[in-house]
This record gives sequence, C-alpha cells and structure tokens, in this order.
Amino acid sequence: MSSFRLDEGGREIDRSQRLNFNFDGVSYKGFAGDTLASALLANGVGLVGRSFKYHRPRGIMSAGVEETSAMVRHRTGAVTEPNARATMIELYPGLQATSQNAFPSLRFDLMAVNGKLGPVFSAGFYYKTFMGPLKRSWMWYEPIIRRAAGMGKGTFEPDPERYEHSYHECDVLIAGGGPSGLMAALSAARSGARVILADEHADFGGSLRHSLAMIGKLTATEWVSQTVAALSDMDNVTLLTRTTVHGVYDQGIHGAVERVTDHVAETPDHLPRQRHHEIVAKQSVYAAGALERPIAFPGNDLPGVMLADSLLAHAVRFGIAAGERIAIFTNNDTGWQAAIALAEMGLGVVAIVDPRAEVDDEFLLAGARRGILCLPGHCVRRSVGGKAVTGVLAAPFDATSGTFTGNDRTIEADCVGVSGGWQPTVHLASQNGSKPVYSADRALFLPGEGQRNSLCAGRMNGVFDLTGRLADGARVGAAAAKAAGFAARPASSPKTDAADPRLDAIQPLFAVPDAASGKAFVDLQHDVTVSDIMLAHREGFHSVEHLKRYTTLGMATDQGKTANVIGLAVMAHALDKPIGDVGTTRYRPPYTPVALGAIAGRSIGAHLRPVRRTAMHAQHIALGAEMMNAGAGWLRARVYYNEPGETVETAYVREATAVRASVGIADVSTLGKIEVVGPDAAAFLDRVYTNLMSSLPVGKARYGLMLRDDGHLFDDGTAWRFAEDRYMVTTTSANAGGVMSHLEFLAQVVWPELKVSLTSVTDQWSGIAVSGPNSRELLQSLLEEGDLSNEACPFMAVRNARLAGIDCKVARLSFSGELAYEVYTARGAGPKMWDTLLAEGRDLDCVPYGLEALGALRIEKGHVAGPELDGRTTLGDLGLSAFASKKKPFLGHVLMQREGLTDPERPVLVGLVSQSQFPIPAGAHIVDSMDIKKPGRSLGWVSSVTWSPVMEAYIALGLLSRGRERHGDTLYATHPLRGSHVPVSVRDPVFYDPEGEKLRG
Amino acid sequence: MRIPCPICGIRDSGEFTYCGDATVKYPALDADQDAWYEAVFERRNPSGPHTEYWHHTAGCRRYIIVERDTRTHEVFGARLPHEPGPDEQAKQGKAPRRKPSPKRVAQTSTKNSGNGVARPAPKAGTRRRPGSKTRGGA
Repeated sequence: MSSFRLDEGGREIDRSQRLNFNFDGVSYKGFAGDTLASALLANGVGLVGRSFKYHRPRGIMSAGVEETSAMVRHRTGAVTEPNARATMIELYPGLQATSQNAFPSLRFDLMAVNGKLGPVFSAGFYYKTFMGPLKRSWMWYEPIIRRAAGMGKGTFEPDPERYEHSYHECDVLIAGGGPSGLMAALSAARSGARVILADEHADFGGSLRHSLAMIGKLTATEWVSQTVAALSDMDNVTLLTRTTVHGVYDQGIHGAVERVTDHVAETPDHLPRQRHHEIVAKQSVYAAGALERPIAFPGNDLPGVMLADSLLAHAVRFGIAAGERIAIFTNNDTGWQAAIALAEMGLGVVAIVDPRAEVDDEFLLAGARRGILCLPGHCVRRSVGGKAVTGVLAAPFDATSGTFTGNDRTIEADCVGVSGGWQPTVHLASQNGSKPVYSADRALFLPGEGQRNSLCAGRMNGVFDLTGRLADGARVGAAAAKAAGFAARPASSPKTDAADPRLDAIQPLFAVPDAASGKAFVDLQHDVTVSDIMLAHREGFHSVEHLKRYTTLGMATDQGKTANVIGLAVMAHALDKPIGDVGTTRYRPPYTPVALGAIAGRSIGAHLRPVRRTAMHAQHIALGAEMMNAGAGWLRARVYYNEPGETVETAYVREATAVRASVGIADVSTLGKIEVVGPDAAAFLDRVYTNLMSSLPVGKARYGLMLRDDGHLFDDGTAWRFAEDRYMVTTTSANAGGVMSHLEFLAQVVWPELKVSLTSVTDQWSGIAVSGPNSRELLQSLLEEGDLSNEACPFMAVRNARLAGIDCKVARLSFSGELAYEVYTARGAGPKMWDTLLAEGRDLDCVPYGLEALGALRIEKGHVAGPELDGRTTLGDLGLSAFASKKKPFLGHVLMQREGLTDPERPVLVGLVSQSQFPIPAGAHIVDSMDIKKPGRSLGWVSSVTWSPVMEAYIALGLLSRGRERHGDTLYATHPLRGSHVPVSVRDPVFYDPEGEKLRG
Repeated sequence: MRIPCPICGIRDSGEFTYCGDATVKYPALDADQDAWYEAVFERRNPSGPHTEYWHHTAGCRRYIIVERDTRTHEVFGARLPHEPGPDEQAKQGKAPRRKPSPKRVAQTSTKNSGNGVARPAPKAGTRRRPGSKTRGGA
C-alpha cells in the first residue's frame, strides 16, 4: 500500500498548520484537521495493527465510526485508551499512539503463527477448551491464551481525568447531524420546540462532509455551515458535536457521551475529558445515516482493502490518495459513483469489478473514458499480498447461480475499495423497541414497528438520494415537534444535483463464492471468518443470537456495524432461508464504547457518597486521632496518638486501661437517633422491639433489640422515654438509615392506624460517652445543680441537666461495663462540651478514647455489636432470649420460632481466650483439630477480637455450635489463608464484671 | 427511569429505593407461621406489569405504590399506600389508571401461565429456607 497526500484538496485540513505526532515510536507529520487515520495514510503507513486472534496484519478500512480494523492504543501512561479507532482520533500536536496485539513488533509478529493454526482457533474455541479432552488442560492453556488474546491493553493506573454528568429535558432530540438531521432540527426548532441536535463528529454534516453535490446554489459545505449558523442563532436549540447518542434506556431516556477534550493534547483544568448527557426527550429523531457494507472474500482484511466510500471521504476531506492503483469491487451503483469521483479528482483508479452483468452504460462510458478497466459480470475471488494488498484475482461470474464461470485474471492494485451495499444505522431504533425488517430489493434492514416516541429520518427510513433525504428530514422534524405538542411545518428543503444511488439496482452479494476456502473475514475485529460461521452452522448454532455468542461476531466495539448483516446473510445462505427470516440480533447499548469514567462521573473516591463528620471532628484531629470510615459515611477516631512511637495497638490498650482506671470520653454522636412521637408511640415501639417499651417509665432508658420480619436480629439500641408520648430511640451508627426506613415502612404502610410520627435526629445532637469509675466525679464537678448520685440518677436514668452552662441530657448508659454516662448536647455545643470535659478531667487523667478502645471495652464486657449482629444471628444465638417478651407479639417473633432458628446445633455466643501469645485472627473458624493442614469441620467462627488489658490475653467473641456446653474446652481458631492456628479456651462471653456491680455502682 | 411521586412529582429513580412487591399483605403480628412464611418469602416475580413499593428515600420519605412493567420499565402510575389502586377504582366505576395495550396483556398472560404465578401456597410444616433480607435491609 502506498497511500500519499495529494498536492491539493482536502477541505478539512489546514495545510499551513503542520503537527507532529508519534505512532509506534516513529515521528510523523500531519495537518491540523487530520484524523490519526488520514495522517497515517498521508505518511504511507498502511500497517497499523495486528488482529485479535490470528495476529494478521491490519490497516485502515474506513473513514469513520465503523472502523473495526485500525484499533490503536491512544496516549500513554494513566490516560491510555486502548482500542481507539484511528479514524475517530482527531490529530493534535504531540499525539502518541501505538499498535495493538503485536508481539514483539508490528512488522514481525511471532503470534502470527496463530494464523497457520486456524483450525485450532476456530469458532467456539474457548468453549471447546472447557470440554472434552482439553478440559483439564485449561489451567495450562489459560495464561498463554490470556497473554496472546485480548484486545489492546489498558492501564492499571487510576484515571486522572475528570468526567461530568449533565441532564437535559427537551422536546425533540435529534441523533445525527447529517442532511436529514439538520433539516429535522430546522423544522422542529422553528416550531418553538426545545431541540437538542447531537453528532458524533467534530463538525455537523455527516455524509455531506465529503459530498461533492451542490445544494441549491451552495456547495455541501456551505449549506452545512449556513444551516448550522441558523440553528445556533435560535435560543431553543442546543448543538452538541463530538457527542454520540449511545443508547436508549428506560422510558426513552437517552444517554449521550460528549468527548469534550479528547481532541486536544492536554485537558485544560476547567474542562472535563468527557461529559455524559442524560437526555429526557418527549420525542426523538434518529437520523444516524447508513454504513457501507464490505463483502467477504479471502484476504479481505489486508491493509489496503477499504470501504469504497471511505476512499472518497479520505480524498475529499483530507486530500488523501489511499493508493496509487485503486481497484473497486462493488455490487451496486455507489461504488461506481465513488470510483468516478475519485478518478475525476486525479486518483489512479485502475479497475472496477462488479458481479452484475448489467451495469448502467453511463458508468461504463465514464469508466472507459478515464481508462478504467470495467469488469461487469466479474467477481473478486481473493486478494493478493502479504503485509499489504498488491492486487486481486477476479473471474467471470454468474450472478444467477452465484458461481465463477471463467478463469482468474490478476488486477494489480495497492488499494481495493469495496462496496457491498449500505446498511442504515438502525441501532438506536432497535434499542428503542423496533425489530429491523429486511428489504430484499435493496439488500438492507430498515427499522420496523414498535419504536416509542421516536421517528427515523433520511437513510434510516430507506431514503438514499440526497434531495429526498433533505425533504424527509424536514418532514420528520416537523412530525416529531407536532407529536411533542407544537404546531410545526416542514421547513422548505432545497434541491440538489446529487446522483441517485439507486440501491434497488444492487446485486446482493455478502460473501464471494468459495469464501470459506480462505480467510474471508466477516468481523475483522474478532477475526470471525465465513468458515467460522459455516462451522457454527454445522454445529447447530443456527439462531443469530447463538451465532453471535458462539463466534463473537459483531460483539464489543463493532456492535454489528459492519459484520452483523454479512454474518447473518452467510448463515441464511447455509440454512437456505431468506435473510429476512433469519433476522438480526437485538442491538444493545452502547452504540460505541463509553468510558467507565464517563458513567461514574464525579461519583468517585470520596465523592461516592457524602463524608460525615461529627461536630467534634476538629477536636479529634487536634488530639492526634487517626480517623477511619465507620460506616454510613461517618469518620470516627480509631485511636488517639499522644505519645511518639505509639502504634494502634499500644494506643488502644493505653486508652482502654485509662478508662477502667479513671475516666475517658468518646464521641458517640454517630449513633442513629430517631424521635418517635405520638399517642401511639409506646404501642408502636412494643410492636417493633422484642421487649416491652410501653412499661418504660418517663426519664428512663431501656436496651432493646429489633428483629427482621424473618426472625433474625436486625439492630440494637436504647429507647429513652422523654414523656408519655415521646421517645428517642438510638440505633447502631452504620444501620441508622436502614432502621429509619424500616420504621417508616411500618408506620406508613403496615400500621397506618397508629398515631405516631418519626423524625431522624441523628445530626441534631452531639453525644459524648463519659466512662470509667471517676465519670460521676467528673460530671458532678461540672453540674450546676442537682446531683448524679446513684439515688438521683440510677443506672439507665435519663436526666435533663446543665453542665458548665450547656443544656444537655445525661443518660446513665454503659457500653464499656464501667460506671458511665452519655452526655447529649445540641450539635453545635458538642465541641465546647468536649473541651470542657477534657480540661476539667485533667486532674483525673481523663483521656479521649477511640473505636479500638471502645471495641476492646465492649468485648471484655461481652456486649454484642455489628460483627455479632451480622444478619444471620437470632436472640437465642446471642444469649438474649430474655429480651423476647412473652406479654405481647412483636415483629419477627413468629418466624423466629422456625425450626432452623431454634436448632440446638446453632452457633451461640461464647468468649474465647488465646492460649498462646498470638492474637486470635478475626474471621477465623473454630475447629477441634490441632492440625492446621487438616482443620476438619468448622464448629463456628470468631466475630470480634482484641487484646484485653483486664485478662492480659488476646480474647475474642465468637459463635460456636453448642457453645454453652463447651465452656472450658480448648479448641482452635484457624485461619489457613494467614497460616494461623491458635489454641483458644472457650468461656462465658462476659469477661469483665459479670455481676454488673461496676456499671450499677 | 423516572417515577411520578404523588407528593413531589416526577423524579429520577435514583432518589428512590425499591422495596418489593406491594401486593403482599402484612399478616397480624400474632398470625400463624404459614401466613408469615408466605408474606416474607413467597413472591410472584411477574414478567410484565407489577405493583411495587418504592421509598422516596432522598425526597419526601413517603412509601409509594408504583405500577411498573418489569420488562420495559414503563411506569403506569403511582399512589400513596391505602389509596385505591386501579383495580379498586375500576370496581367503583372509575376509569382505571393503567391501560395495558392488548399486546402486553397477551404477552404477560402467556408468560405467567408458564411461570406458575398462580401456584398454590406450599404446604406448612417443616419448610426451611435460608432467611432472606426483608425490606428494611440490614
């Protein structure tokens, strides 16, 4: 292939702006306005990649979105984009791209041996390796196959680019800004409808960008710019270029991705790389045009074999001659029209091969006049060439019988333009619910019935002549606006001098005779050949949906753009059925690949959900806290480092010891808090909690547990009664939202007769736990009046108080097992209360303590928390059966009594003490075997672990089958993945103060 | 997908939480185990129009009943719980809100007949199923 830049021409390039770019480590020059593909062609680079399976040399086969051959790795480092289509990459200074699937180099690819092993890598190769004699070999094959196969390689680095989401509502969305899309936009916009017009290319115009026609008195380019200018003058029109409407989703919501800065060297700070648009349109118009279809013949994948119309596009837009000697292989008039236009531009068209015996005299004359060898009644047998095409073999052909009737002749050519007909881009229409219908006279599928709130325009309606497409667009645009409720009339559409492509004169030919004798590619991207489809047929995969999955035909980025119709035509031929009866696969979004970043938008990293900080956050940071995510977005202090060299372990042991010795404070603001108010508040809580809450006196709190409907534990917390008709219930921090939603469901839907109102007040309060034997002394010293003696404020009492001038509620609750209180203030007063407590407590050696110490203290006390309330446990499992009231029914009590939930074999809560100096691994299984290699059956698991300063040992809570009968036994906590196997003695889960004297003292 | 909240108007489905089959009636707290078993575990899982609860979690926090086609995500309407649904309205002589197309009805009925939707409740006794999450979530 010896493509080159013409001395003049190229309406989209600016020859005054030379740009350097780099492909496979070699520097080249192109012009502003080029695509990577056109710039490579200008430099005579024909070989741009190796194929996916056989590693065959591949070149550029198109000038647009249908490119399925020239897939490159675009950019480097963290912004690498694999499988980018060279035809869609706009050239910018310093662009870097590399070829894909080549090892060790593009020109010399060792893996090309796969091409010789064709029969091994035929259709269904992967599936077959899972079966039969090869099944066991999969472990051996896999790494090799993984290395050899796969599309281009991406990057493991995080994507540093920014992506945005944008939401729109409009009356008429128009996908595609070619002649019919532009006319549709004009008609709709003039009615006053809010119009969004989106086109995937850098400029509007579609096929007009390389049209040589006159529209009215204007060139195609002039007409496009005039029309776009008229549209952009209207306030009700939004024009989006470089924007692909990639999918139709639920309720006709359209997804579109705008490549905002993919065409520049570096994304400026103020712009995202891409913007994802979600468009809710009352009506939509699909004016997505049509794609030229190749014809499968052996060797049709060599660099230099291209789509005929793309030769014209490259010549007109970029001034590119794709070869010095161009042969055209066409079964319809558009191939002749392209060939003659190319010849008129001075390109070397040498031959036109057409399987039709009857070709319009006008074409034959025009060809002969330009010295082109015209071969009607001929068909290409195969291509000639190694790393690039050097010619084709053509032979006389009888279209009726579909066979060759004479001897081959060789046509020397370094470029072959193929036109096998045209296929309207039915993707969006199909996604929207219409089933494509085959139109046999023109050999193409048109959108069928069943689209919702949308219309097709132009070539998607089967209108192929330019004048007709303009008129059809105008008509459809008005119809869409009308359907959206506007009084619209079709805009007047101009006449053109474009020739009618006369698609009804086509000779349907999808693959040449005997195509299966060589590698005739149907899907270049996946190396699916005609013989693969024949194989699928022989093996019974007749349905197109099976064919697609078995051969990977039309999958991935191709999405059936060029491969689909040929594939099903070959299948139809094998089945001896009409093409229309075989049908197409269902087209699915996205039309072209969408970066995951564009879908995620700004919802990444810490932006995934709101970070929640308590009012005392700054205090914790100042005290040297290590903050951690504690569920529901909350940041909580894990430990406070207040001595150099402290580790998490030494810090939490110091904090826990200080609490037991004197007093410590912890931020408990994150606990969920819900106010339950109303005359039926008590009745409501009685139904929700397993124990009685109606009997709770005003001014007291009570521990309570909730079950799910199915009888498993849901959450625990305390209920505080402020008044006869007013409670506040607390929930675990992580589960607060779930409990609130659950209670709302019950109140709104299940028991609407109960007069109760629920309000989340989690964020309205700051809460500080004050724990330790000196906690009363500390609070008493701040108390302005009253006292906190055991008589005035007994265990579980809730009192209004004023501490250091701050109104608060003091509740005598203990999670640590010590004499302890929780002090609740208005959220904003929290920091002052915190500082006051720490300052006042200095003499008492008051320390702040974090989650690790909180955990150590509650494990010592045998209190359950999240790890035990894991959704699989019951009241009985955790030794909490006493909380199941017998005086009333409550939610979950019926299914709680199911056989499986009362099985005596169920694991129950136990305490575990390490019998060695090693910690008990969290998540370990409990077994009775000494041998880590043969641990035997699991008897239960370890849920929470800590070093216990009280026991001076590693201890844990766990759930152990028949655990209560095993107190005193020695078992093993085994974690084979970490290689740890620790002997543990089983005991009661309450390690500290089992009589509860301290917390009541 | 968008959902017409009876309180807030049409809102994006991202504001809502799906909460399951709204045709399931909660039994009384002291109902027998079979009734609870059925309410918690038995679901029709229809392909086609479905009546379901959605919680406007990031909005008015009301639970609403949405009529939705599970295959197309078409939403026919939404109402507050305890408001009459399309069937009750039809009984009272009012026009039903949902007008399924003949095609959809036909497809649904063929699907359902093979789907065992109307299958009788399984027998009581020693059934044991793994506990599934309730709508509250854990």
